[in-house]
Amino acid sequence: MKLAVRIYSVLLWLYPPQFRERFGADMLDVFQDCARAAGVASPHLWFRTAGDVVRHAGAEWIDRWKQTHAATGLSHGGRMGMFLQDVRYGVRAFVQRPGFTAVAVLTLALGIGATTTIFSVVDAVVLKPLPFADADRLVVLWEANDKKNLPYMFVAPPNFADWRERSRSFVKMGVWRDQSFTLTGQGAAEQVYGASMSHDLFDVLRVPPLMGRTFAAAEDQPGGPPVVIISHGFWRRWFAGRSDVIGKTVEVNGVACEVIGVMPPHFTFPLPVAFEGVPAPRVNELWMPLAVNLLAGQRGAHYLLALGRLAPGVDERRAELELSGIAGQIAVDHPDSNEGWSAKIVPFARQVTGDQRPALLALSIAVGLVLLLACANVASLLLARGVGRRREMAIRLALGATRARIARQLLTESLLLSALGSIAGFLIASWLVRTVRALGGPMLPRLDEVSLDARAIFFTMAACVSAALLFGLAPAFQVSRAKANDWLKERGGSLRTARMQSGLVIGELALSVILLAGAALLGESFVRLTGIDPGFQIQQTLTAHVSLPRSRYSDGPSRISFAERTLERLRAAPGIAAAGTIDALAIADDRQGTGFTIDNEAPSDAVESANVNFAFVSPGYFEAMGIPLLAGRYFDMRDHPDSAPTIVINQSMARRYFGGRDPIGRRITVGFNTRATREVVGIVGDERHVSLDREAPPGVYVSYLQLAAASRLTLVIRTAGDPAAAASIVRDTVSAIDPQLAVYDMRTMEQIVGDSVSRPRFSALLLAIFAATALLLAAVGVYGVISQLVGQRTQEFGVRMALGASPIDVGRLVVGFGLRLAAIGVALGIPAALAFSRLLSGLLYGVNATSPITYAVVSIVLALVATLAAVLPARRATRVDPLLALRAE
Amino acid sequence: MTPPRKTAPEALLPLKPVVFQVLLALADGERHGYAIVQDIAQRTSARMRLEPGNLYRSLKWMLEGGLIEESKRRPAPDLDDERRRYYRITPFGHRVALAEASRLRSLASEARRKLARSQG
Repeated sequence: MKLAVRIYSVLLWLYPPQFRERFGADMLDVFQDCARAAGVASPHLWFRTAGDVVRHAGAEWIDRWKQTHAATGLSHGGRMGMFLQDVRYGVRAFVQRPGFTAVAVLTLALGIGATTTIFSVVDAVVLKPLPFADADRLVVLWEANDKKNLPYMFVAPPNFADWRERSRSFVKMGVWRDQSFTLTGQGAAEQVYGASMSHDLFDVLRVPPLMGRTFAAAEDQPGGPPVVIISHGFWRRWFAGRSDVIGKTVEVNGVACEVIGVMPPHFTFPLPVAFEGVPAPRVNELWMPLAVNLLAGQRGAHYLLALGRLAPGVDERRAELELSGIAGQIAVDHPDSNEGWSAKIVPFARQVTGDQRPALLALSIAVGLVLLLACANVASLLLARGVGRRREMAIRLALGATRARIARQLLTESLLLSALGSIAGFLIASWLVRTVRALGGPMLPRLDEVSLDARAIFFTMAACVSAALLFGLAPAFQVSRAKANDWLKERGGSLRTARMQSGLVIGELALSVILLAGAALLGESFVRLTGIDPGFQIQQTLTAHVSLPRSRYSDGPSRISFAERTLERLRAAPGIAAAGTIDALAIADDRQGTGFTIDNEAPSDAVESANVNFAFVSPGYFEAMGIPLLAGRYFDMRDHPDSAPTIVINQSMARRYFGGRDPIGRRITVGFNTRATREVVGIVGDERHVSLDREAPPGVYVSYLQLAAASRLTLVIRTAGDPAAAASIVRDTVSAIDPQLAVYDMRTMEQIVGDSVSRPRFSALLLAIFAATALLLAAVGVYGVISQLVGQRTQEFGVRMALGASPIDVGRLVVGFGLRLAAIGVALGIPAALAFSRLLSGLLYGVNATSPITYAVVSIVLALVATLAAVLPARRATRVDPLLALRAE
Repeated sequence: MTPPRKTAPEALLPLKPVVFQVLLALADGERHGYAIVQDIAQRTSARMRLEPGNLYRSLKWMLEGGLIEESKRRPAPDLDDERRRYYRITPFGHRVALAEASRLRSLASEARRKLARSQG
């Protein structure tokens, strides 16, 4: 109750003084009684009270204002005239001091602009729910095996069928596979994205189609009728938005499929699920039934993604517990395949946002600091200006102006300043949002949903504008008739104002240290990241995908023939130095893992489950990627279907599993499709295929000519000149061999690698911008305070120089003051920066978050900036003419 | 809300609901602020709840207009909370309340007539 009373007493200050003096005590009594009756903690009470205070205090002020003006006999037109006069006067004051005006407006604009932008990003990426009904009830279901160190594994169909059958924690569950489809029948073949979905997945998502219907259970069967659901965008471009689209057909992977539904405009699925690697950017346009008999599959074949909608009142933990229990029962029934497997649940939103949270949190804090800085700077600027104007105010008071009149003048000026700053800030924010969307590239999930957020604009504007109003009015509060006389005599500002300003500037410097240190760490980390040798050549490499539809490329020989013919033609083309294929491109794609034996023995460190990554590559792949040969030979035409099976291993594999003995000529059995034993014919360098910052795990390569299992090929082409120039050659070559095939996702390796580091680049760049802004603001702050100091102590400097001090002594005195501010700022800032850097540590690569060198450099930079900002006013101080200064006394 | 001057009661009509309710609350005796709040809440089945700001702004307006006045008489000492200020209705306030009541009555009967006609 005590606290409530205290809060209400503070609120009472919002009423005009006369009203407060007359009724304040009674109002407090009534409030107390009301609070006792309603309960102090009742939010209702506080809502009503807040509304009451705002409405009636405001009304009371307006009444008073009307009365005083009625008393002074000012007509409405006169009042309007006075307002215009204030505005004119304010504009004149701004024009007279363009430096002050520009800095103040810019400060406000930067604060408002930067904060609004980042808040909008964080809001879109993290805070806003996914675009599905009750999206917070959606969870992704994974299988997990702790013993094999597989925390998130795709779901095997029969296991999923058992989950769905036995669990009670879900309203609905569904499964899907990400998929791309080749479209033919309208001009050149084209590749589009989407998914194969179980029929109940649409019920899980709860998005009804715009037209037609979703899949029926009968269509979701092996051999079911070929049907397809299309996106709104696809409907517009492929069918020109015709209303009779339902029942029409699209040729997908060589099969005519009936369109049964069109989804609404913003529907997209699957959202990029980030677990490992970097999900590829894509537009989803087609959905087909999964058509898999879930019960007939193998329990060890993990290839489906599963989504569930939690039942009312069930939380993730309980659902996960239940699924794990069911997984345990399955393991008892099927120990061979399911021993050690359990279940894991991740909220869909977190799965989609993935590891963006720490980065966005760090950025939010950083931008909060910038906002604080901007407010502090505006405050400090206006304080400084206010001090300079106290004489003016005092004179006006002496000439008979009322305090209210002067306050009105100052208020008008502050409002004018705020309005200018807000407009500029809004412009900056709308430009920044566009830039951020462009910069963030495809790798920041949901970035396309970012737009300027009204709440954010309002919030930051309110923060900056209240700072401006509060400190803009300071001179009016300070001026009173009693003191006016003193201020007419006094030349500078009071000690208190000076202290307040110094305090603000120290705060700004400390905040800058935090931002600078963060930017330095992220920047250094980014430089290290891009300096990594990935084990392959990034320049002059072009990549493109081709999918071979099973309808026409059903067996190995047909695929091999396609690959051979394509590569042969490409190699003969001008400007192409080497060409090859792989099934899972480095960085862009995930590679599969498999168990293996060497000379028919399991490797000694079997604990690690002896998993290797494997890829199918054609002859010419290593040459095209620029992966060095360390021993033996690359694949060539000797490795054909009829020759003895061969295998090439990477360096990490040779080191880990051959213990110093020569791997060449040894025999490896890898566990995919055919369990053929393969002879090691070559060792190649490690290519960092997971990501730039991850060392290559042990891996093997099998010749595509011997085992043409994959139907999706990535062409890798090494060019002599600009890789982009070879794009048309690749397209023409493929279309000459088979016009029904689509060449898609054509990117240079440089683009792929660049995209993969777009997140760290994005964070580093934004933080660098913030740090630069902070530094600029802090410099302005230091400049303001020192200018103030010089103005106040002009006589003192004059006296000193008259007594024999050299201009250098005086300059040193002034700059020294600036440095002292910087030193205190750094001392306060470094502990805070250390705390902030701990937050960043997860985002750093190869950089120590607490490296003393970083902090030393930051301190030096800050000291330099403070010195620079102090030098200008210091020069003014050294030019003081002792005679003039003394005479002014 | 410019304060009213003492004129014909009709010149103040229509009264704000809050003002009318406060007059009614004071019609049967002197009350302090919270007692007025409680009385109004009771009579309107808590449909009208006054917050301090609203109450005292209305009281101020009524004081300045001469509708009510501060009471110099205090209740029996053992019941009195001496910090509190008590208010009572003035004869002018009484006339204003009556005028408002008859305005409402004629408004109500006219409304009833019209609505009955439009229904039939």
